[in-house]
Amino acid sequence: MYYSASKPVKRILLSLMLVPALLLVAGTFLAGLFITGEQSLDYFPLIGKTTLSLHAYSALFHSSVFYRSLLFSLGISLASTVIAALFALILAQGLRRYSSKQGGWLHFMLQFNLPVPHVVGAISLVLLLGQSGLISRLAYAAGLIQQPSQFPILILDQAGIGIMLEYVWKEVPFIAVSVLSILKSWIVPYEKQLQLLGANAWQRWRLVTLPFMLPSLTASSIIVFAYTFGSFEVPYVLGSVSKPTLPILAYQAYLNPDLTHRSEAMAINGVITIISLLLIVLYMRWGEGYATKQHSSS
Amino acid sequence: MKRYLLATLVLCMLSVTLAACSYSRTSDKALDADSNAALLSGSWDDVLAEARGKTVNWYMWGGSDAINEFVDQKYGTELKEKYNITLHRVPIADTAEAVNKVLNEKQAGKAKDGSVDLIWINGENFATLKQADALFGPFASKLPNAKYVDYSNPAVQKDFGLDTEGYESVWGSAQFQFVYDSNRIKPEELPRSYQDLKAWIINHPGRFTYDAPPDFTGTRFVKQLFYEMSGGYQNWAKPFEQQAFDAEAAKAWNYLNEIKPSLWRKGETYPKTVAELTTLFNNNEVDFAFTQDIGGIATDIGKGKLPKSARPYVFDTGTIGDYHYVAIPYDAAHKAAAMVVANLILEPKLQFEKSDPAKGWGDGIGIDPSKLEGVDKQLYEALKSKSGDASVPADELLKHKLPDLQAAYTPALEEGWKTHVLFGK
Repeated sequence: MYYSASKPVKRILLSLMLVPALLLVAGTFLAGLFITGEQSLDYFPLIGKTTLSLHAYSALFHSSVFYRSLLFSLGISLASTVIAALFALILAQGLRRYSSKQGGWLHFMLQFNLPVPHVVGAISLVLLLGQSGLISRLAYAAGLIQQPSQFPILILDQAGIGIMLEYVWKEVPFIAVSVLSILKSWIVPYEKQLQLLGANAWQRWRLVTLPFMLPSLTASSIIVFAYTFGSFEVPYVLGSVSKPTLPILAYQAYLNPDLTHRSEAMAINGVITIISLLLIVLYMRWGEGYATKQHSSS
Repeated sequence: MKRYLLATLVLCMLSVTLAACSYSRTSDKALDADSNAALLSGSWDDVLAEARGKTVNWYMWGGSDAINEFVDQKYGTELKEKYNITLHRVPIADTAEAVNKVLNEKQAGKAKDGSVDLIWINGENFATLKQADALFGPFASKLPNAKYVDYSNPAVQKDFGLDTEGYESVWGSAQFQFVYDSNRIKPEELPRSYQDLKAWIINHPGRFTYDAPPDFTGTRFVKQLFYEMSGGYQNWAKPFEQQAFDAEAAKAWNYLNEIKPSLWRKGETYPKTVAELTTLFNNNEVDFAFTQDIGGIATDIGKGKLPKSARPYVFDTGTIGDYHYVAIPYDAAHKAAAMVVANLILEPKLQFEKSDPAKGWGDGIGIDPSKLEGVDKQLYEALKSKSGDASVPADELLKHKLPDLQAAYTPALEEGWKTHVLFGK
């Protein structure tokens, strides 16, 4: 019956089969969203607050710490995404020449860090690049520095260098793999055709390679941006306490033993959610949506 | 696009209904109140019988290997063998995580079968749970071993100025101490007050820092400074009042901002936890660490967590000491078993083993030695004679012990530090 020829029947059956999974995923997700929204509006019956108000948001929008933190979060995410995308692009172009047979180990190298959790990457960076890390110790042994404090500050730094290093390290392969899959498949005949028509390498890249890569590049970059913007553990391990990102600010307010800070935590989460929703809209327009348009027009 | 919207709308409505349902599920409450009352009024044998075969989920700060090991092995084995109770230690970075778990369950209308059975707790978090009426009790005086505890002592009876009323049971005691390396600093060069410390820090730029509040010892470090700057703890026995507090706290913020340029990394950042501070100390990045263990640091030295030449000491102006407790959430699934654990940890023998740096981790005892008899008394004398170089003698600690403030001062100090020191100038 599933293989019914009729398209509408197929569609209805498919959506029915998805209902249990959707209930679980969307149900918990939306319930969480609902509770966050409710508490950010100061509704917290546990401590006798049953009237709605916007004061947590207005306090947030009057706080310089919040703006500093918001800009810092956006800056880190943007920089990591752009750098990761550039590296991924170069890497993918370099690797496309090798088939998975010839360059098996290259492909393995490219993908080996995909299953490594972010927090493991973050801790490794501390052990490697911290002022008492492995490299600092080697520098000391080599006589380059006399004290740990002479080693450049890369971890827990004010500019978020450590955080960005971790994101770039982790996300370059992610973007590269998704771009590489495009480069290796149905793009080749088009390039060949263009070559036969006399286009040079630059023209081929500009007219075929880039436009075909762009949708998956954009899509994966938006995912990376959204992830890094909402991520907690990496800035927690690698960030300076005086430069909290938004999720860390929310976590601190959430852990405050004084329960009146709960609405503040939830309001920050509200802001993170709204920005993430905007990114989803962008993704639908320029990511997958763009890809579908390209396919249908070509 | 319309279809997507419709689907989203339906899901939204569904989730709201689900969320609403969870608020109204309170029918079991009456039944549960009965079994709670039975636990508190029945005999200890009933408690033991009900506890048999259960698992206790004990949420506690997991930042010390010595503590984790002692809890798992000593208590875990004893509970299994004597009472057939399985101890499941759940490590957390901050007690507030366990508190939030309980509060979320309370908010969802859950009245029983909660996921937290026992929490290692201190004043400010105890105040939070009390504020939300989310504790089981009063159970502390029900425990047979409560006879060893001196509840007439205000330091035991009150936690951060808040009456415990039997809703938490004492476990041990702690006192803030500084740790230095005797190979790096001679005892006569040590700063003995915050005033001295400032001079030392300015003379040794980059060699001192403290863990950022709200990390426990970091908050203590700031609180003691607040005492010294504002003319002593005696002035703050009164209930919290923002104006009076702000006026005096400003002196502490000035002090901390003045030393900031001479701190590790010029005070741009601070270690997030006391464990991070210890790492900096071990790596010879800073010259002082902190400990809370009354029995000293021999355990950590023995395990290689501190250099052999590390020594603890206290300021002449005193440091804060207090008791720490365990509490049972209102909805704990295994209250009887949790009570058995709370009772077991008061056993004199186990209390002394916990204090003994060789067997436990040097935590101060929670029971009153004057209430002991026979073998227990001998064990205590043996423990007292053990204190070596790696601990401050008990009478000296006692002489310099300062009490903690009422619970409301702690968040005020933590917030103030953030505004005026961390994000300030």
